[in-house]
Amino acid sequence: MKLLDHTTQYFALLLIVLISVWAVVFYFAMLDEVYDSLDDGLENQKELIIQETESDATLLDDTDFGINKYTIKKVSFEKDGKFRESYRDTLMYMQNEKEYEPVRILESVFEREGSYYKIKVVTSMVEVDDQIENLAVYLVGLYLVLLTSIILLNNLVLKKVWKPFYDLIGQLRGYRIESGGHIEPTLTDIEEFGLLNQSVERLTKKSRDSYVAQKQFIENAAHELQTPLAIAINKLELLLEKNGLTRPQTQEVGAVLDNLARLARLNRSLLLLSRLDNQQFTGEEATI
Amino acid sequence: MKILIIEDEPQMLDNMRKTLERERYTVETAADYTTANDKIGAYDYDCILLDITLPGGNGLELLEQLKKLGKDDGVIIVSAKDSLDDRLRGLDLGADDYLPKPFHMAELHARVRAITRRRNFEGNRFIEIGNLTIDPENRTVKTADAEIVFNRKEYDILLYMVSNKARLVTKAALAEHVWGDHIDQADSFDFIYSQIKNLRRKLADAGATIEIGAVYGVGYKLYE
Repeated sequence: MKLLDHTTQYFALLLIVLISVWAVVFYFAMLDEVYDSLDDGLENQKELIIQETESDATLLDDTDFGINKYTIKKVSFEKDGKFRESYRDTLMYMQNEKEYEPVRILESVFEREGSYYKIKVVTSMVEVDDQIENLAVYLVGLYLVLLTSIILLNNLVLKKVWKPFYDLIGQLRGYRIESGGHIEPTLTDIEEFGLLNQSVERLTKKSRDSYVAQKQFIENAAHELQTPLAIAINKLELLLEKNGLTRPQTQEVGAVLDNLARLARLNRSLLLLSRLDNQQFTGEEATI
Repeated sequence: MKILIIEDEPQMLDNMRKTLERERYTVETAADYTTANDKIGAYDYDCILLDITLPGGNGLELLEQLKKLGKDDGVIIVSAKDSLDDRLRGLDLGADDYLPKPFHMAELHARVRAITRRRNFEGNRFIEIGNLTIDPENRTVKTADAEIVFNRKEYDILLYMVSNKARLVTKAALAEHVWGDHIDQADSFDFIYSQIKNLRRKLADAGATIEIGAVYGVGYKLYE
Protein backbone atom coordinates (compact mmCIF):
# COMPACT_ATOMS: atom_id res chain seq x y z
CA MET A 1 0.00 0.00 0.00
CA LYS A 2 1.29 3.42 -0.83
CA LEU A 3 2.16 5.90 1.85
CA LEU A 4 -0.52 8.33 0.69
CA ASP A 5 -3.23 5.66 0.66
CA HIS A 6 -2.12 4.65 4.10
CA THR A 7 -2.73 8.10 5.55
CA THR A 8 -6.01 8.34 3.67
CA GLN A 9 -7.11 5.06 5.19
CA TYR A 10 -6.39 6.27 8.70
CA PHE A 11 -8.12 9.57 8.04
CA ALA A 12 -11.20 7.71 6.78
CA LEU A 13 -11.39 5.54 9.90
CA LEU A 14 -10.76 8.46 12.21
CA LEU A 15 -13.42 10.51 10.47
CA ILE A 16 -16.04 7.79 10.91
CA VAL A 17 -15.46 7.77 14.66
CA LEU A 18 -15.21 11.55 14.94
CA ILE A 19 -18.29 12.22 12.89
CA SER A 20 -20.34 9.60 14.77
CA VAL A 21 -19.45 11.10 18.14
CA TRP A 22 -19.98 14.55 16.81
CA ALA A 23 -23.41 13.53 15.41
CA VAL A 24 -24.63 12.35 18.82
CA VAL A 25 -23.41 15.45 20.59
CA PHE A 26 -24.79 17.70 17.88
CA TYR A 27 -28.17 15.92 17.94
CA PHE A 28 -28.68 16.42 21.66
CA ALA A 29 -27.38 19.96 21.64
CA MET A 30 -29.75 20.85 18.82
CA LEU A 31 -32.70 19.13 20.46
CA ASP A 32 -32.00 20.97 23.67
CA GLU A 33 -31.98 24.23 21.81
CA VAL A 34 -35.25 23.38 20.08
CA TYR A 35 -36.94 22.52 23.39
CA ASP A 36 -35.64 25.70 24.91
CA SER A 37 -37.09 27.73 22.11
CA LEU A 38 -40.45 25.88 22.17
CA ASP A 39 -40.73 26.23 25.91
CA ASP A 40 -40.11 29.97 25.68
CA GLY A 41 -42.87 30.19 23.06
CA LEU A 42 -45.27 28.25 25.23
CA GLU A 43 -44.51 30.41 28.26
CA ASN A 44 -45.12 33.52 26.25
CA GLN A 45 -48.40 32.16 24.91
CA LYS A 46 -49.52 31.24 28.42
CA GLU A 47 -48.88 34.79 29.62
CA LEU A 48 -50.86 36.19 26.70
CA ILE A 49 -53.80 33.85 27.38
CA ILE A 50 -53.88 34.67 31.10
CA GLN A 51 -53.84 38.40 30.23
CA GLU A 52 -56.69 37.82 27.81
CA THR A 53 -58.79 36.05 30.46
CA GLU A 54 -58.78 39.23 32.54
CA SER A 55 -60.90 41.00 29.94
CA ASP A 56 -62.85 38.01 28.69
CA ALA A 57 -64.07 35.70 31.50
CA THR A 58 -65.67 33.27 29.07
CA LEU A 59 -62.19 32.11 28.17
CA LEU A 60 -61.82 30.68 31.65
CA ASP A 61 -63.88 27.67 30.74
CA ASP A 62 -62.41 26.12 27.61
CA THR A 63 -61.78 22.45 28.17
CA ASP A 64 -61.27 21.42 24.57
CA PHE A 65 -58.14 22.10 22.45
CA GLY A 66 -60.26 22.46 19.27
CA ILE A 67 -58.94 25.23 17.14
CA ASN A 68 -57.29 26.86 20.12
CA LYS A 69 -53.95 25.69 21.25
CA TYR A 70 -54.90 25.70 24.87
CA THR A 71 -57.41 24.53 27.55
CA ILE A 72 -58.37 26.21 30.85
CA LYS A 73 -60.11 24.30 33.59
CA LYS A 74 -61.12 25.33 37.05
CA VAL A 75 -59.45 23.22 39.72
CA SER A 76 -59.63 23.07 43.49
CA PHE A 77 -56.87 24.62 45.50
CA GLU A 78 -56.46 21.52 47.59
CA LYS A 79 -55.63 19.42 44.62
CA ASP A 80 -53.64 21.75 42.41
CA GLY A 81 -52.95 24.90 44.41
CA LYS A 82 -49.31 24.04 44.87
CA PHE A 83 -48.91 22.99 41.27
CA ARG A 84 -45.93 24.48 39.51
CA GLU A 85 -45.32 24.75 35.82
CA SER A 86 -44.34 21.61 33.94
CA TYR A 87 -43.29 20.93 30.37
CA ARG A 88 -43.94 17.49 28.90
CA ASP A 89 -43.83 15.69 25.59
CA THR A 90 -47.02 13.93 24.65
CA LEU A 91 -48.84 12.67 21.59
CA MET A 92 -51.79 14.33 19.95
CA TYR A 93 -53.90 13.26 17.00
CA MET A 94 -53.17 15.39 13.96
CA GLN A 95 -55.90 15.77 11.38
CA ASN A 96 -53.60 16.44 8.46
CA GLU A 97 -51.27 13.52 9.00
CA LYS A 98 -53.99 11.21 10.36
CA GLU A 99 -51.79 9.96 13.13
CA TYR A 100 -50.48 10.79 16.53
CA GLU A 101 -47.64 13.25 16.46
CA PRO A 102 -45.49 14.44 19.32
CA VAL A 103 -46.41 17.79 20.82
CA ARG A 104 -44.96 19.91 23.61
CA ILE A 105 -47.35 20.76 26.36
CA LEU A 106 -47.10 23.36 29.15
CA GLU A 107 -49.24 22.82 32.20
CA SER A 108 -49.63 25.59 34.72
CA VAL A 109 -52.04 26.76 37.40
CA PHE A 110 -53.05 30.38 37.98
CA GLU A 111 -55.29 32.14 40.40
CA ARG A 112 -58.10 34.40 39.39
CA GLU A 113 -60.42 36.04 42.03
CA GLY A 114 -59.84 33.30 44.59
CA SER A 115 -60.36 30.44 42.14
CA TYR A 116 -57.61 28.28 40.68
CA TYR A 117 -57.48 27.42 37.02
CA LYS A 118 -55.31 24.92 35.28
CA ILE A 119 -54.06 25.99 31.86
CA LYS A 120 -52.55 23.69 29.23
CA VAL A 121 -50.84 25.19 26.18
CA VAL A 122 -49.60 22.95 23.32
CA THR A 123 -47.44 23.47 20.34
CA SER A 124 -46.44 21.01 17.70
CA MET A 125 -42.92 19.75 17.90
CA VAL A 126 -40.16 18.52 15.64
CA GLU A 127 -40.50 14.88 14.71
CA VAL A 128 -37.53 13.17 16.29
CA ASP A 129 -37.24 10.27 13.84
CA ASP A 130 -37.42 12.63 10.86
CA GLN A 131 -34.86 14.76 12.54
CA ILE A 132 -32.46 11.86 13.05
CA GLU A 133 -32.92 10.72 9.50
CA ASN A 134 -32.14 14.17 8.15
CA LEU A 135 -29.16 14.46 10.38
CA ALA A 136 -27.82 11.09 9.22
CA VAL A 137 -28.19 12.03 5.55
CA TYR A 138 -26.37 15.32 6.05
CA LEU A 139 -23.64 13.68 8.06
CA VAL A 140 -23.00 11.03 5.42
CA GLY A 141 -22.84 13.89 2.94
CA LEU A 142 -20.36 15.70 5.13
CA TYR A 143 -18.30 12.52 5.51
CA LEU A 144 -18.10 12.00 1.78
CA VAL A 145 -17.19 15.61 1.16
CA LEU A 146 -14.44 15.45 3.79
CA LEU A 147 -13.09 12.19 2.42
CA THR A 148 -13.03 13.52 -1.12
CA SER A 149 -11.20 16.61 -0.01
CA ILE A 150 -8.66 14.53 1.89
CA ILE A 151 -7.99 12.34 -1.13
CA LEU A 152 -7.67 15.41 -3.30
CA LEU A 153 -5.38 16.98 -0.75
CA ASN A 154 -3.21 13.87 -0.66
CA ASN A 155 -2.97 13.61 -4.38
CA LEU A 156 -2.29 17.23 -5.06
CA VAL A 157 -0.58 18.68 -2.03
CA LEU A 158 1.02 15.74 -0.27
CA LYS A 159 2.28 14.29 -3.50
CA LYS A 160 4.03 17.56 -4.15
CA VAL A 161 5.39 17.69 -0.62
CA TRP A 162 6.68 14.11 -0.76
CA LYS A 163 8.17 14.46 -4.22
CA PRO A 164 11.83 14.56 -3.08
CA PHE A 165 11.19 11.38 -1.12
CA TYR A 166 9.76 9.53 -4.11
CA ASP A 167 12.57 10.82 -6.33
CA LEU A 168 15.10 9.44 -3.89
CA ILE A 169 13.36 6.06 -3.73
CA GLY A 170 13.31 5.88 -7.50
CA GLN A 171 17.01 6.60 -7.71
CA LEU A 172 17.84 4.11 -4.98
CA ARG A 173 15.93 1.43 -6.81
CA GLY A 174 18.03 1.97 -9.92
CA TYR A 175 21.29 2.25 -8.00
CA ARG A 176 23.94 -0.41 -8.66
CA ILE A 177 27.09 -0.19 -6.62
CA GLU A 178 29.23 -1.78 -9.33
CA SER A 179 28.02 0.54 -12.07
CA GLY A 180 29.47 3.53 -10.24
CA GLY A 181 26.56 5.92 -10.71
CA HIS A 182 25.77 8.27 -7.87
CA ILE A 183 22.56 9.49 -6.26
CA GLU A 184 21.48 13.01 -7.18
CA PRO A 185 18.74 13.98 -4.77
CA THR A 186 16.18 16.67 -5.61
CA LEU A 187 16.81 19.92 -3.79
CA THR A 188 14.27 20.42 -1.03
CA ASP A 189 13.34 22.97 1.65
CA ILE A 190 12.05 20.27 3.97
CA GLU A 191 14.56 19.66 6.70
CA GLU A 192 13.90 15.94 7.15
CA PHE A 193 14.16 15.21 3.44
CA GLY A 194 17.34 17.25 3.25
CA LEU A 195 18.76 15.16 6.05
CA LEU A 196 17.63 11.96 4.39
CA ASN A 197 19.18 12.97 1.09
CA GLN A 198 22.43 13.88 2.79
CA SER A 199 22.58 10.59 4.66
CA VAL A 200 21.80 8.54 1.57
CA GLU A 201 24.40 10.42 -0.44
CA ARG A 202 27.00 9.89 2.23
CA LEU A 203 26.09 6.25 2.65
CA THR A 204 26.20 5.43 -1.06
CA LYS A 205 29.47 7.25 -1.50
CA LYS A 206 31.00 5.37 1.40
CA SER A 207 29.75 2.00 0.18
CA ARG A 208 30.97 2.80 -3.29
CA ASP A 209 34.43 3.77 -2.02
CA SER A 210 34.84 0.63 0.03
CA TYR A 211 33.51 -1.48 -2.83
CA VAL A 212 36.09 -0.02 -5.20
CA ALA A 213 38.86 -0.38 -2.62
CA GLN A 214 37.92 -3.98 -1.99
CA LYS A 215 37.74 -4.78 -5.68
CA GLN A 216 41.13 -3.22 -6.27
CA PHE A 217 42.58 -5.09 -3.35
CA ILE A 218 41.34 -8.43 -4.67
CA GLU A 219 42.60 -7.64 -8.13
CA ASN A 220 46.02 -6.52 -6.94
CA ALA A 221 46.39 -9.37 -4.48
CA ALA A 222 45.45 -11.93 -7.11
CA HIS A 223 47.84 -10.41 -9.63
CA GLU A 224 50.70 -10.16 -7.18
CA LEU A 225 50.21 -13.80 -6.23
CA GLN A 226 50.52 -15.02 -9.81
CA THR A 227 54.27 -14.60 -10.14
CA PRO A 228 55.36 -16.28 -6.89
CA LEU A 229 52.94 -19.10 -7.65
CA ALA A 230 54.39 -19.50 -11.12
CA ILE A 231 57.93 -19.52 -9.74
CA ALA A 232 57.12 -22.15 -7.11
CA ILE A 233 55.29 -24.41 -9.55
CA ASN A 234 57.99 -24.15 -12.18
CA LYS A 235 60.82 -24.74 -9.73
CA LEU A 236 59.15 -27.94 -8.57
CA GLU A 237 58.55 -29.02 -12.16
CA LEU A 238 62.22 -28.50 -12.90
CA LEU A 239 63.08 -30.45 -9.78
CA LEU A 240 60.87 -33.33 -10.90
CA GLU A 241 62.69 -33.51 -14.20
CA LYS A 242 66.03 -33.97 -12.49
CA ASN A 243 66.97 -37.59 -12.55
CA GLY A 244 67.80 -39.28 -9.29
CA LEU A 245 64.67 -38.49 -7.33
CA THR A 246 63.35 -41.58 -5.60
CA ARG A 247 59.76 -42.65 -5.97
CA PRO A 248 58.64 -41.28 -2.55
CA GLN A 249 60.44 -38.00 -3.22
CA THR A 250 58.78 -37.68 -6.59
CA GLN A 251 55.39 -38.31 -5.05
CA GLU A 252 56.02 -35.74 -2.31
CA VAL A 253 56.93 -33.13 -4.88
CA GLY A 254 53.84 -34.16 -6.86
CA ALA A 255 51.66 -33.61 -3.79
CA VAL A 256 53.15 -30.15 -3.23
CA LEU A 257 52.51 -29.38 -6.90
CA ASP A 258 48.89 -30.46 -6.56
CA ASN A 259 48.39 -28.11 -3.65
CA LEU A 260 50.06 -25.26 -5.49
CA ALA A 261 47.73 -25.97 -8.37
CA ARG A 262 44.79 -25.68 -6.01
CA LEU A 263 46.13 -22.36 -4.81
CA ALA A 264 46.49 -21.23 -8.41
CA ARG A 265 42.86 -22.24 -9.06
CA LEU A 266 41.61 -20.23 -6.11
CA ASN A 267 43.64 -17.31 -7.30
CA ARG A 268 42.26 -17.64 -10.78
CA SER A 269 38.73 -17.60 -9.39
CA LEU A 270 39.49 -14.38 -7.57
CA LEU A 271 40.86 -12.85 -10.72
CA LEU A 272 37.82 -14.03 -12.63
CA LEU A 273 35.60 -12.28 -10.11
CA SER A 274 37.39 -8.98 -10.44
CA ARG A 275 37.50 -9.40 -14.21
CA LEU A 276 33.77 -9.98 -14.41
CA ASP A 277 33.28 -6.68 -12.65
CA ASN A 278 35.68 -4.98 -15.00
CA GLN A 279 33.83 -6.31 -18.01
CA GLN A 280 30.62 -5.00 -16.57
CA PHE A 281 32.17 -1.55 -16.31
CA THR A 282 33.39 -1.41 -19.85
CA GLY A 283 30.10 -2.82 -21.11
CA GLU A 284 28.13 -0.11 -19.41
CA GLU A 285 30.47 2.63 -20.40
CA ALA A 286 30.12 1.59 -24.00
CA THR A 287 26.34 1.87 -23.97
CA ILE A 288 26.29 5.41 -22.57
CA MET B 1 67.28 -21.40 -32.37
CA LYS B 2 67.39 -18.12 -30.42
CA ILE B 3 64.96 -17.11 -27.76
CA LEU B 4 64.78 -13.85 -25.82
CA ILE B 5 63.15 -13.84 -22.41
CA ILE B 6 62.01 -10.45 -21.19
CA GLU B 7 61.02 -10.79 -17.57
CA ASP B 8 61.75 -8.65 -14.53
CA GLU B 9 61.32 -11.33 -11.85
CA PRO B 10 64.80 -12.95 -11.53
CA GLN B 11 63.59 -16.37 -10.34
CA MET B 12 60.92 -16.57 -12.98
CA LEU B 13 63.52 -15.65 -15.58
CA ASP B 14 65.88 -18.27 -14.21
CA ASN B 15 63.24 -21.02 -14.38
CA MET B 16 62.33 -20.23 -17.95
CA ARG B 17 65.96 -19.97 -19.03
CA LYS B 18 66.86 -23.30 -17.44
CA THR B 19 64.00 -25.24 -18.92
CA LEU B 20 64.45 -23.82 -22.40
CA GLU B 21 68.20 -24.35 -22.38
CA ARG B 22 67.59 -28.02 -21.75
CA GLU B 23 65.70 -28.05 -25.03
CA ARG B 24 68.94 -26.76 -26.59
CA TYR B 25 67.63 -23.34 -27.42
CA THR B 26 70.00 -20.40 -27.24
CA VAL B 27 68.49 -18.24 -24.57
CA GLU B 28 69.11 -14.55 -23.97
CA THR B 29 67.51 -12.54 -21.24
CA ALA B 30 66.51 -8.97 -20.48
CA ALA B 31 65.25 -7.86 -17.11
CA ASP B 32 64.06 -4.35 -17.91
CA TYR B 33 62.58 -2.26 -20.66
CA THR B 34 65.78 -0.55 -21.83
CA THR B 35 67.85 -3.73 -22.09
CA ALA B 36 65.00 -5.45 -23.89
CA ASN B 37 64.60 -2.55 -26.29
CA ASP B 38 68.33 -2.59 -27.08
CA LYS B 39 68.33 -6.32 -27.73
CA ILE B 40 65.25 -6.21 -29.89
CA GLY B 41 66.80 -3.47 -31.96
CA ALA B 42 70.16 -5.20 -32.33
CA TYR B 43 69.29 -8.87 -32.87
CA ASP B 44 66.72 -11.12 -34.44
CA TYR B 45 65.09 -13.87 -32.38
CA ASP B 46 63.01 -16.85 -33.32
CA CYS B 47 60.85 -16.35 -30.31
CA ILE B 48 60.45 -13.63 -27.69
CA LEU B 49 58.83 -14.33 -24.34
CA LEU B 50 57.49 -10.98 -23.24
CA ASP B 51 56.32 -9.89 -19.82
CA ILE B 52 53.95 -6.93 -19.94
CA THR B 53 54.77 -5.24 -16.63
CA LEU B 54 58.42 -4.23 -16.81
CA PRO B 55 60.53 -1.74 -14.91
CA GLY B 56 60.93 1.30 -17.12
CA GLY B 57 58.08 0.60 -19.53
CA ASN B 58 55.29 -1.55 -20.79
CA GLY B 59 55.81 -4.79 -22.68
CA LEU B 60 53.14 -3.82 -25.17
CA GLU B 61 55.24 -0.79 -26.16
CA LEU B 62 58.09 -3.18 -26.96
CA LEU B 63 55.67 -5.04 -29.19
CA GLU B 64 54.83 -1.80 -31.01
CA GLN B 65 58.51 -1.05 -31.27
CA LEU B 66 59.10 -4.46 -32.80
CA LYS B 67 56.41 -3.86 -35.36
CA LYS B 68 57.84 -0.43 -36.20
CA LEU B 69 61.20 -2.02 -36.86
CA GLY B 70 59.51 -4.37 -39.28
CA LYS B 71 60.67 -7.49 -37.45
CA ASP B 72 58.68 -10.67 -37.50
CA ASP B 73 60.03 -12.37 -34.40
CA GLY B 74 57.52 -14.75 -32.87
CA VAL B 75 56.19 -13.24 -29.65
CA ILE B 76 54.53 -14.98 -26.71
CA ILE B 77 53.22 -12.62 -24.08
CA VAL B 78 53.80 -13.99 -20.60
CA SER B 79 51.80 -12.01 -18.12
CA ALA B 80 50.41 -12.14 -14.62
CA LYS B 81 47.75 -9.76 -15.85
CA ASP B 82 45.32 -12.12 -17.50
CA SER B 83 42.74 -9.57 -18.59
CA LEU B 84 40.81 -9.88 -21.80
CA ASP B 85 41.75 -6.32 -22.74
CA ASP B 86 45.45 -7.01 -22.47
CA ARG B 87 45.10 -10.27 -24.31
CA LEU B 88 43.22 -8.69 -27.19
CA ARG B 89 45.56 -5.73 -27.36
CA GLY B 90 48.60 -7.97 -27.32
CA LEU B 91 47.30 -10.20 -30.09
CA ASP B 92 46.17 -7.12 -31.99
CA LEU B 93 49.68 -5.73 -31.86
CA GLY B 94 50.98 -8.87 -33.48
CA ALA B 95 51.82 -11.21 -30.61
CA ASP B 96 51.48 -14.87 -31.58
CA ASP B 97 50.28 -16.18 -28.26
CA TYR B 98 49.33 -15.19 -24.74
CA LEU B 99 50.41 -17.28 -21.77
CA PRO B 100 48.99 -16.23 -18.40
CA LYS B 101 50.96 -16.89 -15.22
CA PRO B 102 51.13 -19.30 -13.54
CA PHE B 103 51.81 -21.82 -16.27
CA HIS B 104 53.40 -25.24 -16.43
CA MET B 105 56.82 -25.62 -17.98
CA ALA B 106 55.38 -28.23 -20.32
CA GLU B 107 52.88 -25.65 -21.54
CA LEU B 108 55.69 -23.18 -22.18
CA HIS B 109 57.56 -25.76 -24.24
CA ALA B 110 54.47 -26.60 -26.24
CA ARG B 111 53.78 -22.96 -27.06
CA VAL B 112 57.40 -22.18 -27.92
CA ARG B 113 57.59 -25.32 -29.98
CA ALA B 114 54.46 -24.39 -31.88
CA ILE B 115 55.82 -20.92 -32.68
CA THR B 116 59.25 -22.04 -33.77
CA ARG B 117 57.76 -24.84 -35.83
CA ARG B 118 55.42 -22.46 -37.57
CA ARG B 119 58.23 -20.06 -38.35
CA ASN B 120 61.21 -22.26 -39.10
CA PHE B 121 59.84 -25.34 -40.77
CA GLU B 122 57.40 -23.82 -43.14
CA GLY B 123 58.63 -26.14 -45.87
CA ASN B 124 58.55 -29.13 -43.60
CA ARG B 125 55.24 -28.96 -41.80
CA PHE B 126 55.39 -32.50 -40.47
CA ILE B 127 56.70 -33.58 -37.11
CA GLU B 128 58.60 -36.81 -37.23
CA ILE B 129 59.08 -38.84 -34.13
CA GLY B 130 60.11 -42.48 -34.03
CA ASN B 131 58.36 -44.11 -36.94
CA LEU B 132 55.43 -41.66 -36.74
CA THR B 133 54.70 -38.64 -38.87
CA ILE B 134 52.39 -36.03 -37.39
CA ASP B 135 50.70 -33.40 -39.53
CA PRO B 136 49.66 -30.65 -37.09
CA GLU B 137 47.69 -28.79 -39.74
CA ASN B 138 45.39 -31.68 -40.59
CA ARG B 139 45.68 -33.31 -37.19
CA THR B 140 46.65 -36.67 -38.61
CA VAL B 141 49.18 -39.25 -37.41
CA LYS B 142 50.70 -41.81 -39.75
CA THR B 143 53.07 -44.71 -39.52
CA ALA B 144 54.99 -45.75 -42.62
CA ASP B 145 52.04 -47.68 -44.04
CA ALA B 146 48.84 -46.66 -42.20
CA GLU B 147 47.07 -43.77 -40.50
CA ILE B 148 46.27 -44.09 -36.81
CA VAL B 149 42.88 -42.64 -35.97
CA PHE B 150 42.81 -40.80 -32.67
CA ASN B 151 39.96 -38.91 -31.12
CA ARG B 152 40.50 -35.25 -30.37
CA LYS B 153 41.66 -35.64 -26.78
CA GLU B 154 44.03 -38.47 -27.63
CA TYR B 155 45.55 -36.45 -30.45
CA ASP B 156 45.97 -33.39 -28.21
CA ILE B 157 47.65 -35.51 -25.53
CA LEU B 158 49.99 -37.09 -28.06
CA LEU B 159 51.02 -33.75 -29.56
CA TYR B 160 51.58 -32.28 -26.13
CA MET B 161 53.72 -35.24 -25.10
CA VAL B 162 55.68 -34.97 -28.34
CA SER B 163 56.32 -31.26 -27.71
CA ASN B 164 57.70 -32.26 -24.31
CA LYS B 165 59.40 -35.45 -25.32
CA ALA B 166 61.66 -37.10 -22.77
CA ARG B 167 60.43 -34.68 -20.12
CA LEU B 168 58.10 -35.32 -17.23
CA VAL B 169 54.67 -33.90 -17.93
CA THR B 170 52.56 -33.65 -14.78
CA LYS B 171 48.93 -34.73 -14.86
CA ALA B 172 47.84 -31.21 -13.94
CA ALA B 173 49.70 -29.70 -16.88
CA LEU B 174 48.26 -32.29 -19.23
CA ALA B 175 44.72 -31.82 -17.97
CA GLU B 176 44.90 -28.04 -18.25
CA HIS B 177 46.30 -28.18 -21.73
CA VAL B 178 43.95 -30.78 -23.16
CA TRP B 179 40.74 -30.22 -21.23
CA GLY B 180 41.07 -26.49 -20.72
CA ASP B 181 41.42 -24.21 -17.71
CA HIS B 182 38.34 -25.31 -15.91
CA ILE B 183 39.05 -29.00 -15.77
CA ASP B 184 41.39 -28.30 -12.90
CA GLN B 185 38.33 -27.90 -10.72
CA ALA B 186 38.15 -31.68 -10.79
CA ASP B 187 39.68 -33.28 -7.73
CA SER B 188 41.22 -36.30 -9.36
CA PHE B 189 42.78 -36.70 -12.75
CA ASP B 190 41.55 -40.27 -13.25
CA PHE B 191 39.91 -39.32 -16.52
CA ILE B 192 43.39 -38.72 -17.98
CA TYR B 193 44.33 -42.28 -17.29
CA SER B 194 41.62 -43.78 -19.50
CA GLN B 195 42.60 -41.54 -22.41
CA ILE B 196 46.28 -42.43 -21.96
CA LYS B 197 45.33 -46.10 -21.87
CA ASN B 198 43.50 -45.83 -25.21
CA LEU B 199 46.35 -43.81 -26.67
CA ARG B 200 48.91 -46.43 -25.61
CA ARG B 201 46.79 -49.24 -26.99
CA LYS B 202 46.38 -47.52 -30.38
CA LEU B 203 50.12 -46.75 -30.56
CA ALA B 204 51.00 -50.35 -29.71
CA ASP B 205 48.44 -51.74 -32.20
CA ALA B 206 49.96 -49.61 -34.97
CA GLY B 207 53.45 -50.76 -34.03
CA ALA B 208 54.71 -47.28 -33.09
CA THR B 209 58.17 -47.06 -31.63
CA ILE B 210 57.29 -44.34 -29.16
CA GLU B 211 55.92 -45.16 -25.78
CA ILE B 212 54.20 -43.20 -23.02
CA GLY B 213 55.44 -44.16 -19.60
CA ALA B 214 53.99 -43.28 -16.21
CA VAL B 215 56.27 -41.64 -13.64
CA TYR B 216 55.42 -42.65 -10.08
CA GLY B 217 51.81 -41.60 -10.42
CA VAL B 218 52.85 -37.93 -10.80
CA GLY B 219 52.85 -37.65 -14.54
CA TYR B 220 53.89 -39.16 -17.87
CA LYS B 221 56.94 -39.22 -20.05
CA LEU B 222 57.29 -39.97 -23.77
CA TYR B 223 60.14 -42.26 -24.73
CA GLU B 224 61.42 -42.70 -28.22
